[in-house]
Amino acid sequence: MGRRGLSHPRRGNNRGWRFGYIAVPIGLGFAWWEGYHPWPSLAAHVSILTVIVIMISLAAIMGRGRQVYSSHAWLCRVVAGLRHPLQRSFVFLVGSLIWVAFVMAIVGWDLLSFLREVPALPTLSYLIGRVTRFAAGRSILVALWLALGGFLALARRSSEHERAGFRSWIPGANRDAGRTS
Amino acid sequence: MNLGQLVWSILAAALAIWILVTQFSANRLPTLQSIGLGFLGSWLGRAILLAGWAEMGWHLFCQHP
Repeated sequence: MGRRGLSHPRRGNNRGWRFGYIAVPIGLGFAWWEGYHPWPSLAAHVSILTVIVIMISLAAIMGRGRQVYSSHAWLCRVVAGLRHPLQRSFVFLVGSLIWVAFVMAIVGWDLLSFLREVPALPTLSYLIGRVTRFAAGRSILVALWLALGGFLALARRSSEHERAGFRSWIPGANRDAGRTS
Repeated sequence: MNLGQLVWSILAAALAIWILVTQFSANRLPTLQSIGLGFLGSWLGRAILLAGWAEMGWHLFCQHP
């Protein structure tokens, strides 16, 4: 059992706040700078690609050994949920179906607009492009995109206590203790 | 406002209302946050979301809109 996972929660929070004090101004500065580099420029391509590489590296480094479930266990939970949907409450099931309907409506309408290629049916990308053509709009959207990426890279990293609790109720999971890939 | 803009506006408004409804449902309905955190529980789910995020960034900021 590693000592890192048993550190006091408040100590971990302080580390997180220190990281935020550095990352937020850098992210905002980058978003402002990016606003002045439209999509055809080489600077825009290199900078966005660099951010993607940094964020994926950050997720790999900060999340190493700190996922709540192994990928296999997570996939089993998803498949079990799909095979036995009635185990959840009726309200939860209806809510899930409404989320699926929203995704299908957005993807379907975007696809239809893309295939028809008429001015009366703009795609979502075209509408967003009308915002990102201005420096301020592009900067704001880049800032939101960076914030989302940071959340996806860093959120829900478990402590050793949480993983131990998870392993205790999964039969045979202790054999895979420490494996999170 | 053309047909496409009207449909996108309706979809955006309906989605915003639905997000608010789920937020105030006291966890009886799946929220956007709970769905996202559900994916972030493992490397596979996190990789799927990060791949989508990367593709979205490249598409929105580096390709012709």
